[in-house]
Amino acid sequence: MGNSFTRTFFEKTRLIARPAIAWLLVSFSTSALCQSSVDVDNWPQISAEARGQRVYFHAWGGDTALNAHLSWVAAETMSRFGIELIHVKLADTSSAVTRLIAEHDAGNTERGSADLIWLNGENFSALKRANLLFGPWAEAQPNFELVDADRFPEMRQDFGVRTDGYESPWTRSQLIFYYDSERLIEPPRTAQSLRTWLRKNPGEFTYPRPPAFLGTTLLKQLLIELTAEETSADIETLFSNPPNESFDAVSAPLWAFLDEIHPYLLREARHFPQSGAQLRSALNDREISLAFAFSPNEVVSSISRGELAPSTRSYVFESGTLSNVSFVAIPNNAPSKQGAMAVANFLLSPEVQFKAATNAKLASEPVLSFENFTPDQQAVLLENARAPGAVSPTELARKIQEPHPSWTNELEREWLRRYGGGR
Amino acid sequence: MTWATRFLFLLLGAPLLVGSILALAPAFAYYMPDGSFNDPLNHSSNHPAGLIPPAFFALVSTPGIATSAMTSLLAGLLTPALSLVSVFLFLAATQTGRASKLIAQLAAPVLAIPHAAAAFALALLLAPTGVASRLVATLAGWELPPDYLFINHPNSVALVLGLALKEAPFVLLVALAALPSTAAPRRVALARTLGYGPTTAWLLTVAPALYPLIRLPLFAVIVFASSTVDVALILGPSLPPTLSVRLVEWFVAPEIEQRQLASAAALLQLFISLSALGIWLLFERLIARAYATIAARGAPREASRVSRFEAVLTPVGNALLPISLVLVLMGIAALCLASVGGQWRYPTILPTTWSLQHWSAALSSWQAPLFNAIAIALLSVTAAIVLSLVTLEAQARSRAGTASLSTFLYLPLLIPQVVFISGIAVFAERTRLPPSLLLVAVGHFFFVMPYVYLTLQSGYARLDSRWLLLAKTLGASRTVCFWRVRIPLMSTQLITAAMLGLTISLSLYLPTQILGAGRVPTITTEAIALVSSGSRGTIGTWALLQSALPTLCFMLALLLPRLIWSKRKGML
Repeated sequence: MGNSFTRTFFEKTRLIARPAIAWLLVSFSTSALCQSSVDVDNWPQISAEARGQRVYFHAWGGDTALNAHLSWVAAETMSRFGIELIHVKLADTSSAVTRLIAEHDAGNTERGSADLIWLNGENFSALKRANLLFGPWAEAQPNFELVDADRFPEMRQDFGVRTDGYESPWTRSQLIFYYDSERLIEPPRTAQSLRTWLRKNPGEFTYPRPPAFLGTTLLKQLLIELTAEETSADIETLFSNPPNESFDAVSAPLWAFLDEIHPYLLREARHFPQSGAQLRSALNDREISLAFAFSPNEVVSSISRGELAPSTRSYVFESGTLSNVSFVAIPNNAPSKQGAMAVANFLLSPEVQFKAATNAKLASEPVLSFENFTPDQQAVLLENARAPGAVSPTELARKIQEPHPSWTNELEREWLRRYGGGR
Repeated sequence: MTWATRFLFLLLGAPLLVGSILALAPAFAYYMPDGSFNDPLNHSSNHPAGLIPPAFFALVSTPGIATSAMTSLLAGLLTPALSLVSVFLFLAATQTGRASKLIAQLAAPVLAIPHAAAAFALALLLAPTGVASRLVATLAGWELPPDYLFINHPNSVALVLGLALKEAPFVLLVALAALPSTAAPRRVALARTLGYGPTTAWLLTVAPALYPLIRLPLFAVIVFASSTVDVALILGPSLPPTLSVRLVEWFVAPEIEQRQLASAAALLQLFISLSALGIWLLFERLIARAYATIAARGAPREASRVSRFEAVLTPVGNALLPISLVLVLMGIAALCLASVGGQWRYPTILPTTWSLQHWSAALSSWQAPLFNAIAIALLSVTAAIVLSLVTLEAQARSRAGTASLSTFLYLPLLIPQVVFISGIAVFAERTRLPPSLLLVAVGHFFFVMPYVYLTLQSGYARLDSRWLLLAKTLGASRTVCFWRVRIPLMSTQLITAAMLGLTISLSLYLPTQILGAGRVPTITTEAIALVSSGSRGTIGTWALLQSALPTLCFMLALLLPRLIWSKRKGML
């Protein structure tokens, strides 16, 4: 399970990053305009109305550490705010989105099944554009200013799409690589050196099968890195534009790269792991000697759970790695919007952020800016950053922004076309 | 046909029909507004007049779809074949002696273990980092796990093996239940006087009589094996996955384009499952002919040839089924180890540290799922028992035929689960039925009903009607006959039916997940959700938790009648 909930969450949410936009627009533009009359700027009133509400939080449930954390949050919201928070544990977050779409399709505009959903990427932008989300509300939360969004613009950007107050951040993620320092002395730190290293060490690396989120993330990382090497390619097209007829040309180096490394992967690429968790098991069992995760604290929390050896170390590629922020959103047919906002605000409080960050099994990466923690909390966080297996803050500062969300879908489609049908 | 039978036809048939239609209909949609990348107009211009809906073109052009369909078809044929062969060889070799009773008792709990749990057990044994490999590593001094592909291999051997491990015990119990009516000992005795060895004699004389009695359950196995999702996810190939796995992936995708693809795939799934049945029927005929030829040839004259044939079949028959049961039990042991293991790196055979963290994490969150699972199981099983009894009683009183109904009851088992449950979910959403425990219980009812009804039906058939006649001559009314004579005399079947129903309900995943919309968590949905975590400890713990209740039910089914009839003779 993952440390991190983010990594694993994304793996189960890959379907969220798919374009449903046109259909959404066609189907729901008629039913979409009935926002309820919640005054988001009157926070005292929201808190008062939230009391006694029942909030269904649809979030991936495959991480026992996250589940335990959320049941702690639920106990606190009950005792402090009188809100009954129910974590609807999804095996695959896309089912919540499917459900939301089906509800609107059936004309259900008031009594939806979800009050709060952990959303990201393409699905967010699709749902937002189709007016299936309630808002704007996120920046009216008292705790929102603690994230210091003016200094950290990624708090208002979900895969390059402006959140416009329709989503509230609650955790962040970054791609990191990890290895067992007893088996591997000098791990590869660029895409090119990965290829060279793999030739000498066949079978010691693999990646989750796209469209599993982590697998697609590696594709994006490699794509950006390989594109940056090509002097002729314009890297900005990756970030600002949906893929167009230039897709084949831009992505050609990536496929050539994959064709080259596949014979050297574990099981000669005839079978890929399904998730980052299986990747971690493979590393722990020495099937492979290099793995990766989409959570900076993956290794620390896995060591504490006994799922990785204490000699495991993590790092970030030389030119940086992909990073993004995780958000929660409120469907516009949510019956308990006030309760959902109160919960989102509580998730942003220094207390909850600190608790999630210092929970050894969870080790979530806070979204609050560092100075908004108390000096005592800051000291603990700094201490944790020096734990064995942690990535140093300076390394983590090497962040690469996500490509435009529509690239995800195209990369997955092309990968499946090339490799998904078997040999 | 009695009014009760008609009612049951309607009650089961209408949702099946509506569900299947709603699930399959989107495949025939002609519009394809998938937005950004595909021009919907291209489809219609490429394919004149749009005679064939675009979803089917999309399906056909999906990479590896033929391989996926073929894998499903092969799994659907090889699983029942392997199960049937191992069970018949076993029965022939043991001649239903003491050994077969022992094995049958071992097989019953295996039947109770949910498919997913058994699949995990097998993976935990046979993967490159599994227990078997660790044993070899310790002996051979390996440091690193071997890089071989068995679990998830494109040839699907692991998938078929995993399915057969679960289906063979089912076929065994069905066969044992039907065996008494074949007068097996007399047939074998007769054949032996003609010079056949006991195993050959059984295969030539009892098997042809027994087979027709277990055909329908075998058909259910064929359909299940060709459309299973959870086992295929765990043991099946991934490049490409089986058709059923891809179908579910498409069905849960948010875009309509994918939903249409899912519907077209559902139609293909239906076709594949029916094809598997068709091919099976074809083989039935071929084998029947071969049988006739072999039997007509008579026993070979030379004693040595007879004994050679016997000498091969008998040990194989003795070994095959017991080995498969031992495999499952070893897998369960491996799950137990994993659930209490902390650090357990390759190649150590036992975990190097022990920890209860997986259990404490599981136990902190299992009350609601447990309550839901039990409530759903009780609701659906009670409904199934009441309806079965009402129908059977009405039939008994009117002496109407029942054959068509029992075939019909198999329909929910002969239509792939994914196909009609997804349609029911669409229906519930359209009629604004909120997802609830009750709705899930209704979904479970369809899968519980066939087993409950068929168990009780055999009870009705078996009960000597002279008991009722005797009661009537003593002045008892029909109601009194039912409550004071039939129900007590049938209590063994009632308990069996209830426990079988509970076991099935407790391990259903897809209907629970789809109809409950994630709001009605049960032990099984929690287990599958956590399985995506990939941690051996968590998987072990939840697989065991998931198996615990059904196993308990099975033990009760075996024990309760013994307790109830402890002072009576000949009731078991």
